[in-house]
Amino acid sequence: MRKFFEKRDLLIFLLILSAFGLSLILPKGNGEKIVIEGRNFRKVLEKPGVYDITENGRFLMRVEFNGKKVRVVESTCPLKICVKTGWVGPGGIIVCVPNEVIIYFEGKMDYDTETW
Amino acid sequence: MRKIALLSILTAFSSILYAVENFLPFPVPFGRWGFSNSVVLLVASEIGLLDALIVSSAKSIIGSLFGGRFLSPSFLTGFFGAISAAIVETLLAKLGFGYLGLSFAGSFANNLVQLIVISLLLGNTKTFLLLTVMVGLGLISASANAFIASKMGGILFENYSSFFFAEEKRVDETLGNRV
Repeated sequence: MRKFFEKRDLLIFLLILSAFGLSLILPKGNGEKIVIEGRNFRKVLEKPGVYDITENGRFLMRVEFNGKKVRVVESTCPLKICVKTGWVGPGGIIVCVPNEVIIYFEGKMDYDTETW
Repeated sequence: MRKIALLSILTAFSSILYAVENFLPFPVPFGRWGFSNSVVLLVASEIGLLDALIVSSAKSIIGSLFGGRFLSPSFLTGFFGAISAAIVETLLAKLGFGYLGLSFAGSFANNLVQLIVISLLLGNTKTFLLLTVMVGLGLISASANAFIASKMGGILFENYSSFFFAEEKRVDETLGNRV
């Protein structure tokens, strides 16, 4: 029978905690622009306001941007997880899987286009 | 045969946990607390890799059939997450870690693989921003899972230790023992 806690478990704990801390320290993009990415559209919000997101004329969701934070006011998805996420600041992200929409802050450093 | 009985009881228990915990609230989209993984942790650390793979995949499939989300995105993430957690936990169990460390490592692998699957589904790597939140919450549920698994293992070993690795006894065919 294995013990609940061995001393070497601390090693794993510290490893995970350091990875956790590292990602908090790493610089995040300064949130100025908000990118709303869907299946076949990409929209960049720069000014505060309330925006309706449509895809091929179909209403998907209403997004509110107050200059610093962003939230989804209403959405057509069944579980409303994107609405329950609430206000999201720089570095945060709102994902709506049924509508296939991702909302995030565009940072200065975008590692995504790097291909080694 | 006894091992199959034990594995099926554990699978049933785990898939019920998987289906029921859909109703528990969780702060991150796509997430659940994952208490059903304590069974996977127990099987992976005490019995073996193949059995852990069987239990983890079976509980995801059966549990998602109960919940009505078979082959949906959240089923896929749970399925691959549980399998990867089972593999990581079995490999680390050979190095003599305790339940807590195994559970931490398993939850980390689970979260990482889940986010990889989500990003493959959405075709976007931005979802990895969720990793910090998921790992932070994973530490809580991983400690709970380790506690559950150690208690469950204790009960199993106290009462039914013959379940583990016991050869089936054949009828004694030696002449003197026949009545």
